[in-house]
Amino acid sequence: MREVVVLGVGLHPFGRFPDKPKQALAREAIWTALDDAGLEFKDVECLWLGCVLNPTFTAWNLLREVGQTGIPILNVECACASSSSAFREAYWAIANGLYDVCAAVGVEKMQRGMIEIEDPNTYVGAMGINIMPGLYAMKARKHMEQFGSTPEQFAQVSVKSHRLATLNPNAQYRKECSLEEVLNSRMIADPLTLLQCSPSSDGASAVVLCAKEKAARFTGLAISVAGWACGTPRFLGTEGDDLSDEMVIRLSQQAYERAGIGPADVDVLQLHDAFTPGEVCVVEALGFCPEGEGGRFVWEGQTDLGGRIPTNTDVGLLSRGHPMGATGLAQIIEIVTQLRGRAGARQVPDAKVGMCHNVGIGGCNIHILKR
Amino acid sequence: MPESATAKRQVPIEPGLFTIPSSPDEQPGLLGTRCRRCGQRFFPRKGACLRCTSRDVEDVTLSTRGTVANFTVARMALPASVIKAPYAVAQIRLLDGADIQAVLAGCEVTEVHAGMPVAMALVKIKEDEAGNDVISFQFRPVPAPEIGG
Repeated sequence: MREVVVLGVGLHPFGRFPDKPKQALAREAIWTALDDAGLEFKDVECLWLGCVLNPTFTAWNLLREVGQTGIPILNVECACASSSSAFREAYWAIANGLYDVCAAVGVEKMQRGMIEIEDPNTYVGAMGINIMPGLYAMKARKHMEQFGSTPEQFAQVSVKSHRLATLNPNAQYRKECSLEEVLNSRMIADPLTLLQCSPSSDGASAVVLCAKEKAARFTGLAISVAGWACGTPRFLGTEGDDLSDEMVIRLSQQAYERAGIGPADVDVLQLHDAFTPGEVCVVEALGFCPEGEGGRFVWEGQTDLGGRIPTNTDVGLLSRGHPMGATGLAQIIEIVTQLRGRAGARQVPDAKVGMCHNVGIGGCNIHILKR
Repeated sequence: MPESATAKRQVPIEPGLFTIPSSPDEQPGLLGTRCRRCGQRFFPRKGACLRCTSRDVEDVTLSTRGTVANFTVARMALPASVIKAPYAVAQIRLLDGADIQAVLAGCEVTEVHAGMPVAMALVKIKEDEAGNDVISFQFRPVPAPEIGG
């Protein structure tokens, strides 16, 4: 397998853009990524596009905006892990020698409030079973019962995110909030309050990947894809849900092995913090702290700038917002930005190795990138 | 007019999940699947075993008793739902090993705890356009079985 690099990255800010259709968001993201790479769209040989809601025709509509060059395209849907799945498809195609230059794009337009509108004529819909933060809320409850973590420790994830937002012009919500404000915001599902839930959002993200051996002719500052892993939760009864620790442990071990590193070598991390328990639990499963100590780890600031493993330095889903199809690549983009040394006020000094964890209903993708 | 034309019926919210007793000495049942190869049980019914992938599976009635494995308390009602907030939603491990998600009723949300013994109970949630009672199920706390009882 050939070595693959990220050559260009581009983000359309996350927020509300009622007048912009998906292809308008997506084309800005990919043009930014192409400019960053020193390429034109005509150089892209294959394109994957992550989008969850109404994805039909989205990749094609984008082509009709940026260049109808006859290349193969594909809409990729893996719920909140859609665009990291688009990334891994592009990575596999180049690594296996099929193409030299590929693009992965993510885009989403969402309405406010709860994502799912269930069918009232089903058991699940009529009984209100699928509360959006339900799985995360249950995970937090169990973590507190089993390991003694506290609601304050979960809430601290949101405090950190909102503070880091003041350092990032791309964050949707850029106002600090105190621990009290987070804990006293409206309770959605015990123990998760409104400020511990990521806001829905519009947005787009794009990455241009290239075979390393071909990258020197282009101007983009290349960052290598060093490791990867993907999969779904194994059957474990109700614990085999999309937040399964078993899955994250298994996949992270595969990714570390492929990259030839361990957790101690990672300088900067992006993990899926759709809700605050994501950060507390995933830092354990990725091996950054022992099982059960995620709450204390966060509370002590170990996932903040200056801590052991700065996490979601661009603020993550909680303050960036979570346009489902665009989140996976937004994570990759922040890691690439950090490894390139271009993260400004939120730069992790001398970051050489970064890791991305992106999960949705339907899978988890882990990527390791290296300067 | 024949009585059957105007008699009120009980209809399930969704077919194929549970049975409604047709006589007073019958119990409601949960409809599930058992894998003949590895023995794992599932709710709702499945065409294959999710654990070992065998297609040698059989329809079974599941235990209607179990314990709360995990839960949360929803503070906002969902648009499609008839259940008013706050309510507890639990992941329940039935006595025969199947897992099921259900709303908990019959106690304050503050009383719900992991390990709490619970049992299935039918509940009327609304009426349909024909005036039939639409039936769903919840789980309610029960005393733990006595040893030797």
